[in-house]
Amino acid sequence: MQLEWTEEQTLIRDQAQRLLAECGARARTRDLLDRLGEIDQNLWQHAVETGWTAVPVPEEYQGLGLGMVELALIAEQIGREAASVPFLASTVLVTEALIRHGNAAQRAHWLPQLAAGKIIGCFGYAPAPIDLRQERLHGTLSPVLAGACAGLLVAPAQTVDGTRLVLCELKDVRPEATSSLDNGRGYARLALDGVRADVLGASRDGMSELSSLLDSAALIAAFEALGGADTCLSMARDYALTRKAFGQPIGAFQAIKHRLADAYALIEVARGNALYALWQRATGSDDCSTAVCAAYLSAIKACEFIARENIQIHGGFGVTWEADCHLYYRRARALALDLGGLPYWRDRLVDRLAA
Amino acid sequence: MFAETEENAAYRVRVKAWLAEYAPRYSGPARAGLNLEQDLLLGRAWQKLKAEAGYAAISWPKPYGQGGTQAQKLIFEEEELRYSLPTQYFAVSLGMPVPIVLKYGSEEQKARFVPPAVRGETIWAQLFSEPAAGSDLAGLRLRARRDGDDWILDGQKIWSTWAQVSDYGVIVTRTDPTVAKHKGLTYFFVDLKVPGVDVRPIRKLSGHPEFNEVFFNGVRVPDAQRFGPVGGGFAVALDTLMIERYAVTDDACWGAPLARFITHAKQQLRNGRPAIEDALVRAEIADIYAEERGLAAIHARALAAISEGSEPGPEGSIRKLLSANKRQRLAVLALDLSGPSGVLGNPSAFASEDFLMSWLDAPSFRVAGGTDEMLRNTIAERILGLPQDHRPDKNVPFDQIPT
Repeated sequence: MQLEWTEEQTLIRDQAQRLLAECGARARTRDLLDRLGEIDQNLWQHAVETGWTAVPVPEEYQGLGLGMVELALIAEQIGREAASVPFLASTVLVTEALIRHGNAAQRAHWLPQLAAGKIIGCFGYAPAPIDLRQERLHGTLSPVLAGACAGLLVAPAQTVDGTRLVLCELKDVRPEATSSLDNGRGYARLALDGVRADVLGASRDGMSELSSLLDSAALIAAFEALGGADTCLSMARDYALTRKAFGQPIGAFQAIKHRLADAYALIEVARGNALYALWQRATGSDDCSTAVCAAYLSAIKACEFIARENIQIHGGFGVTWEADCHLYYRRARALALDLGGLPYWRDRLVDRLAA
Repeated sequence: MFAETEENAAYRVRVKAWLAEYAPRYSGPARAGLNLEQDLLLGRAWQKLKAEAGYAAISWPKPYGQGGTQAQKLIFEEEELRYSLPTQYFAVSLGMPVPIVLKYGSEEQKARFVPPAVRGETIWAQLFSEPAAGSDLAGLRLRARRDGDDWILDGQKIWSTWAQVSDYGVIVTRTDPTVAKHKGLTYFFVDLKVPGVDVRPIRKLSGHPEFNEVFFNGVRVPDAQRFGPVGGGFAVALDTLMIERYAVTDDACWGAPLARFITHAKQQLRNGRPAIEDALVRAEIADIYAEERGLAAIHARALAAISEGSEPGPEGSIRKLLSANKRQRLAVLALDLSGPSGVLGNPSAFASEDFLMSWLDAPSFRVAGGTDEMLRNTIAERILGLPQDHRPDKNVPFDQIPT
């Protein structure tokens, strides 16, 4: 089930697929698990050259002036290879925060740099905002997605005027890379006491702006999750066709067949939701938030289910470091946690339904 | 993509208006306190009204139907589902057997049998399942033996929905037990009012009366009522099951819907607070909403594809598999929220409005029309390309299969 992509969109998608394969993204993700605070620099460089970071940036700031569809298509490919790049944090969250809430000077200064891949952005989402007093931040953020490799931070902060989104250049901040279940995501602890920061010029209500930014991120994360889910389903199906036990391919046993049929159904439902939410955004619908919540929740559900069952179907090999299975198992869980956690998204959805 | 075409949208508006005007006289409160006979009469009246207004057999070719599109048929059914109308008596009849008569019948048979069925004057049953053959349809045993220009039928069918009010039925019989099971079958249509046909009711777990077993004792059927060649009955049977290529499934699988659950959760208390504030309840609501929304998105796409002339894919199987299970889950949670008073209920309440009745009949939907297990097999084998189950009776002559 596909929306009809334009020729340009198909090109972007196919190009991304090729790039990820050529750069050996999956294998690199495995290596990065044993390191701290490192992203796949080689892939990111190529991705920048290809134009990923310029996708959502308006043309007036040297971007490509494209939108959510292109971001979604790239994210899905990233998910298919479990690639370790700061796309969600930098190209989606921080870039959109600047476009929508930066003043003219902030946009002119930072957007071209983000578009050219000269700087990576990280987003400091935390349950309670940090403080901004007299242009200095107070507080610590942990874990910050892509914080280990970022030069720019956007985060909600408590100011004298209420909660606002703030912008902080990280050149004098030493990020402390934190050990995590998916190290290629570059998680870090950022100690921000006394660090210089500015309010994003057009920010008026940090919490509702945060909500809206998280919606965009959740929709893109849904596509990343779908990509991973597709890979896991294919992997499991292919293995079930070749692995033999008790005289036949294990895929002939109903325990395996039915599990994969259930996974297929979950993935199709999630894809329906993701495409619908994307369509709503693309056609400028006023209320996309409910659709985004549904898309995100069902994509995470599908992705986690098949990531687990993919391991299961691979038996002993599935629980090894060498197998690709755990890369997706980790990535699915990270996607489920990075944007606030599932209870938060369920609450958002139910608040709207029960209103 | 997800937007309805202008033509379909306009059709939907017309349909909604017509239903708004006429459906209330035949639905909901209009059915309160009616016994089966009375409700069936109301159902016939509704079917007749639809036929006269051009809303019956919408996608069948003229002169038997309206010659409309599949999309129009689905749109009407979707809108009709918003009301609790007595349509169930005709669901099987007009969904499977009568379209088969249209496909395989002679001109004379079509002219004689189809219009009264469309008007709700006659009802057709589907006589496939037997005590020993449900999912394994080809394992059926009812015999048809040739006798001059006729066939004599002996055996038993089961789970025959509304056979007790049916006039005719399509039936699959075994004509040759010496060949592999699916090769020795022949398909007929039968008059259920002839001597030798004995319809006995089977009550469902919900108390509902629509099931029956139908015994055939030396029932004479003319060869002119055979559809397809002798020994070619399995193909016609599959055709029957597939003929309604894409049917509308109610989001709630004909049970009480999520919106009603949300209202219920606001009214019930958990630890002194409205249950809608409970994390477990919220997680269920979110999960079920997301699933329904995804199925609706899939349906919208399927509808668009059908409008453009494509064949539907596995969307129907996915929808049935998920929504039947979801109906059960949602109803259980609703009853849980009611606490001890969840045991209380009224057996004549509609499943679409009452969680107890929704729960009670939920298991039927995981079995009827393709069990969960068969649907999963279909998805796994046809879409994912996984191997068929091991079948010890494959290619074995039927009369040599150990039972």
